[in-house]
Amino acid sequence: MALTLTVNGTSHVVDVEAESPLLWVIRDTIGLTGTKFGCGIAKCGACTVHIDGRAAKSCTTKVSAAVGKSITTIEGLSPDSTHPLQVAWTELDTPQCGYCQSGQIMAAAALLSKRANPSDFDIDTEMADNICRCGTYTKIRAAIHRAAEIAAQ
Amino acid sequence: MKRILLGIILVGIVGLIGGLAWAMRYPALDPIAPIDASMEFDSQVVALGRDLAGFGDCSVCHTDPRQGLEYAGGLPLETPFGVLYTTNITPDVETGIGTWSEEAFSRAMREGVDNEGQYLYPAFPYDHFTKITDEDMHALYAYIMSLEPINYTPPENELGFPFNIRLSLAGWNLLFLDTSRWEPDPTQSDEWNRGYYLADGLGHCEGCHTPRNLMGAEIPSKAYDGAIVEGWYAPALNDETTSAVPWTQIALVNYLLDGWDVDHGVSAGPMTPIVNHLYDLPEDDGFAIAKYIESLRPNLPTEAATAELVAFAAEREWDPENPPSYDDPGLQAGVEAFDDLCANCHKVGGTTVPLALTSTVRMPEALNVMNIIFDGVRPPLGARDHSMPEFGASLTDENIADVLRFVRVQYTNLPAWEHLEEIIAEKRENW
Amino acid sequence: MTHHEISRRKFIATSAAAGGGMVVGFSIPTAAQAAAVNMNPWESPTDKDGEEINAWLTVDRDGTVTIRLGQSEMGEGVFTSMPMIVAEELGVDWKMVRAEYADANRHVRNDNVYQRMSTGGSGAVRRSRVYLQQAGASARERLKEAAAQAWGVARSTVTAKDSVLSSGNNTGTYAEFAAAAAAIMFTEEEEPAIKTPDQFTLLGTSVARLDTPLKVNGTATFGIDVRVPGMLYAAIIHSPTPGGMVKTMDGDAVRGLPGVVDVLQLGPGGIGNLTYNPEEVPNRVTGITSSVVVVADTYYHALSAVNQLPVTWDAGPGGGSTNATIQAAAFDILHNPAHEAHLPVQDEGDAAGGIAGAATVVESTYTTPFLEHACMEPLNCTVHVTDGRVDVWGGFQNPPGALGVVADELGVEQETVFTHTTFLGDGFGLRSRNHEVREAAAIAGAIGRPVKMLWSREETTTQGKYRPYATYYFKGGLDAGGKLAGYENRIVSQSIFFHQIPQFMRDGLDSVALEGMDARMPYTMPNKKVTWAMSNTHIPPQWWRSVGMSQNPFALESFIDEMAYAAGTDPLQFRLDMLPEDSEFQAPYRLVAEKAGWDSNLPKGQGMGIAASEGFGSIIATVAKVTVSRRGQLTIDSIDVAVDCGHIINSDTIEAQVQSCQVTGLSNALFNEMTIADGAMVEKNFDTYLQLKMSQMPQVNTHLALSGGEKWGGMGEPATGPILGALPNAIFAATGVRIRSLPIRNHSLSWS
Repeated sequence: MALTLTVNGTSHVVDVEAESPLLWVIRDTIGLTGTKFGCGIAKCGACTVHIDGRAAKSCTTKVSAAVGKSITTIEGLSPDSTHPLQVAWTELDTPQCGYCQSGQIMAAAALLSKRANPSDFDIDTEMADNICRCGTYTKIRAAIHRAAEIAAQ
Repeated sequence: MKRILLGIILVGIVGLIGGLAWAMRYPALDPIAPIDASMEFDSQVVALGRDLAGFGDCSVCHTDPRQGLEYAGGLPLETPFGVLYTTNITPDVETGIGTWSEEAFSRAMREGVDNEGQYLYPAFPYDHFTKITDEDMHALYAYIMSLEPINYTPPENELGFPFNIRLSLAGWNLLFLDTSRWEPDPTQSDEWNRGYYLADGLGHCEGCHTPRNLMGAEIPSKAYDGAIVEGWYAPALNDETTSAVPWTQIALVNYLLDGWDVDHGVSAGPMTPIVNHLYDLPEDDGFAIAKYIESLRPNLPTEAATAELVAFAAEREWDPENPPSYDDPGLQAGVEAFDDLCANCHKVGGTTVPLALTSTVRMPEALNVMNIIFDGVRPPLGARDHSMPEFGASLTDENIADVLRFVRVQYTNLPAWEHLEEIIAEKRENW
Repeated sequence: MTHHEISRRKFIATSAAAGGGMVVGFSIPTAAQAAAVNMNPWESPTDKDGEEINAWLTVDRDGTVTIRLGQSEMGEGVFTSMPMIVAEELGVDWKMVRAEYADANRHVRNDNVYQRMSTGGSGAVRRSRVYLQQAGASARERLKEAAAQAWGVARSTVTAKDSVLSSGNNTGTYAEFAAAAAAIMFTEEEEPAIKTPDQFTLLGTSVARLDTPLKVNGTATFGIDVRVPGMLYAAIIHSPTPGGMVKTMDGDAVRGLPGVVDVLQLGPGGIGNLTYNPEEVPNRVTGITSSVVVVADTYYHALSAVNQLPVTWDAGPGGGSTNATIQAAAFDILHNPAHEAHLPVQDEGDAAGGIAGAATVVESTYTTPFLEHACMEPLNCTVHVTDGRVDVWGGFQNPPGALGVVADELGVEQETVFTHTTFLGDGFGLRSRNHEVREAAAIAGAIGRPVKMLWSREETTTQGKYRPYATYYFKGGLDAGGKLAGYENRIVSQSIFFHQIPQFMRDGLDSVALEGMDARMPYTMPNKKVTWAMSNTHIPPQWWRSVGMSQNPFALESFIDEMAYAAGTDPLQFRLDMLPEDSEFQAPYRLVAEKAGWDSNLPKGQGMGIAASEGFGSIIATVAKVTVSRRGQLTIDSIDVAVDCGHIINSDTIEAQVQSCQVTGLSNALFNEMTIADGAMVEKNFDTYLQLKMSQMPQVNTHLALSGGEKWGGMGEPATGPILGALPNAIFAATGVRIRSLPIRNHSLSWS
């Protein structure tokens, strides 16, 4: 069926089943591959996007639940990698393999929108559902603090 | 309507006892010069105070997580009377309590009056802190005065007339405040007494777990009956509990200190900051609190009744090979939504507590399960692998209602939850 | 959806960075234009208009130098460290350096021109530094020679620095002389000497990773992101039991589902040169488990259909096996010293006699489970077969291997196969076997259209190749003074070499299974006897980050600790006493103890544990500090790691890799375990195959104990091992609970 999705401010008419996971519609139908598939059961966070500003695991979100809402993916976080998180992430050379990083950054962006100056503990708990198998956790923590600093300037 | 009525009653009370209140007004206490806490107080006393402040969860309310300024206040407390903002209790001279003498501190803690002689609102649980011993009060003062001063002025309270008249609280105190000191109960063990002191005094557990009357005071006859606070249901801790498996002392220790127990599940919502405070505190005190809380429920179910519920839980746990099905289309919609999201983890062979054993699905209110679906579960300090992602943005309100209805029917034999659409709509509006 | 006709080489559909529109073609977003690495890393980051000086580098007219790397980027930092090595010699302005993958097809056609194109064994730097330095030095000297000829001066008068050549009053850029330099050939004798570490100016500093910009905005292309015009998607389900076969399959039941293009069976009776255990060698697992596949217009359609496909399986020889049967088979050998399977590994002095005469005897059995790699990116591969040419995209740890597998599967010449290595969403050894590549080639060959095959997480977890199960028996005798008088160690484990590279077996022994346990053990033991026996299963074994070091240090360093406590000696001192004065382990041990504030007498409930191991040329010593509550809650307060990898290339990478190895090691120690029921893997996804989370990440302090000299150690893996010993040892110090099997989460740590 034809559904209209708003992704990164652009309207897309997609012809998919209503129960299709949002993840595959974003990646395969719309073609934005920055959002990654990791587990399919909302246990790794690689597919994290924002729906109306809130973090959501797109692998377990039916596309029908996102109709009429504003979806933001890593590609739409900023037009030119200048979001404070992207700047901080680059400054600290946070990624290793990079696969989970879109999800990490999107989860961090949702965290910063709730808490402008999160503590280590806030970061640890709010980011607990985003796995990184390379082990960039220490740098992610530092990068989120740095991003909060940049955003405050 | 209720508010207006309440206001009239309160104004009446003020009128009746106004003269009396004026007569028993509190004087302002002299400000003190800034003190160098490191010179003033023994480090062991400060350390004791830190532990006690932990048991009292002082920083849970006196910190706005959005600001991240510990003990500097600013946390909005939604009360039926309006919004209160917690105060800055760092020893900042200008905006905190840096000029408060120990006498002023102790008076505030026990009698609910600040150093100017102004009444404090009983959202601050001075009605429990009256029980604190002098020695502990001194340690608390030493610890609080040792904090890093933070210059921060919290927002003004948003209270309408007549609640913005602090003098009216004289009447409240007269009615509800018992300032008599605590004495150990000689018929109980030392451990129980210690637990009582920590849970009922400093810990003010009743503050959330006991229903309040129209004037916001705890109802003594309903102590620990369970109550709705901040959009969550603080469950009954007494015989009114609906838990499947009785809360033993060790189960309570696991839950209170680690935030997780294998027979009951993980802490969530406003309880998580509490267990995170308890995590690092002396374990013996944790056992004492648990001893006391355990005693609140004298009438335990028979072992057979518990075994039956445990068997029921095992039987009802989601089996991916053979998922449940219901003729009722609403429940079947719940099955499908559950299958998509919840059953990935809440299933036979998973690492979660069987859902039918979790305290939340058996509670009389759907609030906690609903909140958890919306916001997920943040891992407590003592159970860092126990988290759940937020699904509020992934589900429609209808989906959430379907899941809640299904969960209640599938995992309990208890009465259906009511007002699901209303509470979900309200949650969504404020989300 | 429309597709523009674009050149053959650049026909990957790519997405725009923002705005969400579908953009087809080769459009690099603004932010990536300045990037040093292309979002499609197999493609050149610049539209080169310059000269190739040698296979490793080109110089553009604007001075941009593009350096090629033979290794694959899976987080370890090769996209930066390898170009740094070339740039060090070349004397190029680092800001002008770009990087791209070397072409495996050229490597195959040009007689292995890139020397070594697989990534593993923590070998990127230590196995290629010399020839990369040579490539840079050679290019520099040829540029100098070109300038010298143009200026009529001697080459020795020409200096090369920051991409500028000068001699007297003459100056010129590398770009000006690139064409001339390309034409100059050196004989072997004319090749310049390479720099020694004391001459390095770039190497050893902290250099920002070139691939970072692509990894903060979603533009870096991983295998799973590859999009080819006209591409179909394949979803796959293998026999749950490794080695099983399809018994029945009713493809027609799903052919009518939305988007389904075809239903295939891979393996015996189906398509593909996929066989499992076909060997004359009994009990040796090779090949690929049979599977069923649905090809559809979208992955979601393919996945939905394959999940509904009626299929029954013949479990094959592994059916019925469980953890208990596998352990029983291993223990039958382990606990029977007379069993014929035990092969001598090391026998020095008189172990039995030493133990017989000892005052105290310590005896223990340790086990470690099968582990899956848990790469963040599930396995996938995209293949397009056309007349005369096959294109293959994926995250390959071994691109020439992938190329060979595809050529073999499709029966085409290797020269006609073009692999395009993407970024890898983790590797850890999993992405070096190319089994999924063979499957994808078979599917694409049968379908005749480009196909992207993607394994679900469940398939990736249950159909991987696994870190083998291993069991260890130790017996140590201590004399009255607490000194080791005799040591016996029997190891029974599955062999990776036997399954994958049997020609590497020596005297029946698998040297990777014995890492650190044989003569490579750092401790001097007067009476020592070590044996090894192979106990294979139907579960295919595979390299897993740090290989033998992913389990041996747990057993060995725990047992050493047991002996130290039995001897009443501080565990650090006990180890130092067994190290020769000139042991390379001395410095890392002493440094890590000092930095961590080593204290073996902490109050109950707190503890420090220490361990060290050598792997991949590097020595790592680790101290873990833990707090365990009476109720058994474990908190890892800090981990200190001392590193001797000899020299460093990019200092930031060292710290990143140490942290990374701790995460691998902690997940391994605390959570990871594949359990087997009816021959199949029980854990299927991250809900039960648990990984370390942000909330569990401790403070990690990295300390350098570089010995320099000839030592050039790897850093991708070796820091994984010691934490496997240090953590359980710290838990013992805190609680008195001795962990003898992993993972730790199976044990109660409560104490009173």
